[in-house]
Amino acid sequence: MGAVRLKIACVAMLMAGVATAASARDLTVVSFGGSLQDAIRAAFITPFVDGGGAKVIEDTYDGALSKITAQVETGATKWDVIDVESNQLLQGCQEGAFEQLDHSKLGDLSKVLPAAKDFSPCGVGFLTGAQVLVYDKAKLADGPKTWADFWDVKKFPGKRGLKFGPKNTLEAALMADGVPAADVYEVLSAEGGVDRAFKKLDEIKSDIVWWKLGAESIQQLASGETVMATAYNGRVVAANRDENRQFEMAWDAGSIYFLDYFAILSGSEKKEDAEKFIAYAIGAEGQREFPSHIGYGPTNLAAFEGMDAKVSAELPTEERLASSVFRDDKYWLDHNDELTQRFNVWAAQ
Amino acid sequence: MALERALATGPSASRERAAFRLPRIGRSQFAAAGLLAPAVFATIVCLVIPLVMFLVRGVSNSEIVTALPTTIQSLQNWDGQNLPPDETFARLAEDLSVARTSGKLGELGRRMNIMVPGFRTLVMKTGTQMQTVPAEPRTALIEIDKRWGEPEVWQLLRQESGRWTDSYFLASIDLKRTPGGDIVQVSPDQKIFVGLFVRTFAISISVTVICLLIGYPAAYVLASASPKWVGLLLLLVLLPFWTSTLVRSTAWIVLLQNEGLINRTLRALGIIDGSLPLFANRFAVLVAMTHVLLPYMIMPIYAAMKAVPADQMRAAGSLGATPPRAFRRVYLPQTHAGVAAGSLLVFILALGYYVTPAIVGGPGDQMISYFIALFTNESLNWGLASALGTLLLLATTLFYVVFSRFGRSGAGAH
Repeated sequence: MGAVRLKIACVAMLMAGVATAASARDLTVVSFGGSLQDAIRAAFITPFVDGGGAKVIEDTYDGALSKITAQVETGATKWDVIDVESNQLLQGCQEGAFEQLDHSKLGDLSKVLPAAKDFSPCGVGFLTGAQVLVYDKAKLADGPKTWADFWDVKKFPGKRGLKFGPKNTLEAALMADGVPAADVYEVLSAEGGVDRAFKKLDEIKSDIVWWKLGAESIQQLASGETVMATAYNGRVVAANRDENRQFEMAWDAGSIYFLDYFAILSGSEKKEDAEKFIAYAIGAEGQREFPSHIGYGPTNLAAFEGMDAKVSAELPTEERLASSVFRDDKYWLDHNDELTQRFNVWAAQ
Repeated sequence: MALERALATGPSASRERAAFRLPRIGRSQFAAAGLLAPAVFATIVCLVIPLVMFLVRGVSNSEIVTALPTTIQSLQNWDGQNLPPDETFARLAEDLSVARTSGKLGELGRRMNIMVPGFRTLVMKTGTQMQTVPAEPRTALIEIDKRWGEPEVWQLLRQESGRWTDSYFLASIDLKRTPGGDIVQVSPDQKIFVGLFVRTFAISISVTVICLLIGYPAAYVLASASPKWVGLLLLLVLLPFWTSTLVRSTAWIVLLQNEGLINRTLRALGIIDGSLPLFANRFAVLVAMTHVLLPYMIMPIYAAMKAVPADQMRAAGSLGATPPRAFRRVYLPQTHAGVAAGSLLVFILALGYYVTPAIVGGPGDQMISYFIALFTNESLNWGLASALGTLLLLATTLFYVVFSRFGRSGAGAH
């Protein structure tokens, strides 16, 4: 009996030890992996930790909101700071998956884009990315300048690459139909707006090559599969730099830009450290360092002061953003399911 | 002796087996049950219970019932004509105000958006302004958003006020209820799921047949290979298992595109002029899925073939059968079980695939699991995901029942 009791006591102590070790975890920052996570590590995490901030461990995920809500619902939160896209931020905030941020704890936000700090009370934007009109200057010396050119198969014969799905594609179609960037969502949500966009897409339907993964649109341009395409600006910059490509981005056509946000998981036990990390990430120093690692732009305009001109030439600057459409994820949150079904029916015909 | 009888195949063996009696339940049986208990328990807790919970989601309407309890009650007394009385508007304002503080507003918005796209914003906009219940609820609500002044909105709300709903299952077969309560087809530009199911089964059956046509001869070579070569051949069959499916699927992009390796080689050799359309179509989907699923067909057939005694074909020949007849009457029936097992495995796996068709296929090659994943991961529309998944599960179970009968009847036919 004594031996059994001793064994039980040992096991209980071991389990208690394991439990306490598990709860004393480090600040966990989560993003999408790959070059984006490398850039976050180089520009934010490493300087933050070196500068005396809390110890940080990383994790990756694929962006599925279900992974976040599952943790919050079961109470077993193991993540703290998460890199979320705008639609997940909106939906997660509405459903209580994220903490409300206290802007007073995040440092000087005076030069931060309104789209970054006012979009949602649960997150702060730390990078601007855009889907731009891209073509290979090596193959097309005089390339397309507007979305109308993208739709002009006589002037620029060849296949076009577009992202498979209603998001970004319907906006591009409306801009090709003459809608100014500022009015795109007004027209899209009005009566007949969606029909107009699909009708415009019908005009070049047989010349479209659909891409699904970000790397695909670049690969199609590089191999000559498409003569022009929409692509994420960060990937275009990476392809030009790492593979010696001459991809040209037609910023004047008007891009569709979006932000990535940092949010804090609801119920996180590292909330204070998480706020300090986010404050560093949107501070001028972190924001200035970030674009040199990946071609996305800063959300804190103070970062442009003192930035290498070669780097800032490739970024979504204030002027370029002014002529672009800010992807309205409130609209997409309402209509994504319905329009994805409609898009699939249309595309399969 | 008992073991040999249990493992024997053939007609007399089944008769003997029928006469074989189990020993009386003894202590060894209890010990065996005890060893099995943790596995059974784990299966029930980790598989059966979550599965049942998930299936229940397909008919559950809990979001509306928990967020708008008094509104629902008040709507039961409404006759459905024009707009409900002022009292109902007041109940709605109260319920939304409570939902706002209890954090249930987002969930309600998501649920109502499934009913009508755009209702998420309606709920959020109205709910966030309900700090206090207004004095004139009807005018206040309609002022916030004029949709509250439309009878259809209230009729839909009354329709969906039960604890259970059939809207998800109706949606999964492209049907919906009008505000009046009739079941109608959804508009043609939204009709997608029935076609998707048909397409999913068509692709899965095609892949199964192709895997069978390639896998059976491959398994035969494997089963009759000399011991010197078996090791290497098995390695070749199993090697794809050790690479990620995503990597293998993306590799096909490089091979099959218009400017991919195959087309470029054919052009360089002068065999073709332009490009063969090998990518973003059904051909690519079938090729890539067969590539991934072939080992699952080969291994069960190989196992069945190994169990066939090597001298039976020779014996059939000595009795006067030509090789094709011997194959048909002696060899083939004994591999039925392996064929059935391999086909069932490949078919069920193919039903659930969506990454491979999404990467290499065109817009006309999306499979149903793509949408199940979309509703589960992105839109959190677990009701529709569950309904679609339940239909898939039912169809799969049906196929399993049919296939397993085929397998059994094949083995005992002679």
